[in-house]
Amino acid sequence: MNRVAKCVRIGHGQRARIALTALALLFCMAPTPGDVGGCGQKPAELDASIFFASKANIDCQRCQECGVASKSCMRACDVSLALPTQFPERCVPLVHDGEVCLRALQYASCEDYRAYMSDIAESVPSECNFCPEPAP
Amino acid sequence: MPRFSLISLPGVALLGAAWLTTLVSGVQPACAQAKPSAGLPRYQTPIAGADGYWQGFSSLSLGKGLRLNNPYRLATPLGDSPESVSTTAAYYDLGFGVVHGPAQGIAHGGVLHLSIAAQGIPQEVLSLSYTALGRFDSGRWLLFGRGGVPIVLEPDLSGGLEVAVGAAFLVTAGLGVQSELVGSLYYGAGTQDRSVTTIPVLSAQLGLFVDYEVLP
Repeated sequence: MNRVAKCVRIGHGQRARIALTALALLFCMAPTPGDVGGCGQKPAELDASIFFASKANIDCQRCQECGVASKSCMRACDVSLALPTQFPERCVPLVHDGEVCLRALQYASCEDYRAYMSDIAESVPSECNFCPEPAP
Repeated sequence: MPRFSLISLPGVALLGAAWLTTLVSGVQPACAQAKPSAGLPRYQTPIAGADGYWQGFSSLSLGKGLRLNNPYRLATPLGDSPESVSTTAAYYDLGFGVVHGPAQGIAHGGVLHLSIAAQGIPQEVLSLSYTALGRFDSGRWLLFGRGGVPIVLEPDLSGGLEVAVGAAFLVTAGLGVQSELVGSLYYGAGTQDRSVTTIPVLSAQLGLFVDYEVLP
């Protein structure tokens, strides 16, 4: 009888521990840190021509892969269009800013890509938002 | 030559018999100790007199973390600005460890973890840590702590420092569930303000725990 009572007590304790673990998981939702860059990578300015050409190439590939046929996609795939050769004034992104953005685009889901290339309400992934437009 | 012949076949047989006798007599007290003494539950196996034994374990977990410094605006920011505190990608974590120590007390050893991102860009982190493990409630609960060096293998080679505390509850003798809280500090690419950035990450993981004890 005592043993049964002890089991019941342990059962309550276990439930409390499981609840605590679930809470800890909820509030501390990896040791995989993300695209933080290589240790020792010195800051160097990003070349606008190379970045925009690479971005257009990825945009075009992803549009085809995801079956997106927006005007933004057509522009990305149009090799006759001139690409920007400089970043906006006061925006000086680094090489790793560009790497982070391009990798994020390469591995974004098709659902996200439709939003990035939308003609109606185009969104920008936070990784590519290194030249934010100043608030009005 | 004559001296050698003195300990030839009969000698070897005698030595072998003596060794076997010693071995058997040496085992006898241990067998006697293995009998459950009065007052202890029947499922317990006392291993009194054992200086220590080896315990191997492995774990498979799923985790997620909070990135406390985000100079490269990595997804997914929780605040208004892209540089704010952000959640990391969910990751799978596979761990293999081995410790040596007494049944009652702290065992010491090492553990190897491989973390792989479950979403977003490909990421792999390998970490090697010293670990200390304590057994409680007749070995049903294991509490452990570790400190080590994580090496980021992908997307860029980098490294850092890592400490973690965790607990495992064994449902059967060899299988259980485990949870671990991990605090890591990674070194990242430089920014215009700093030549090296430090990225603290606090993460939690929950999963299965497999235990293998080599009893003396």
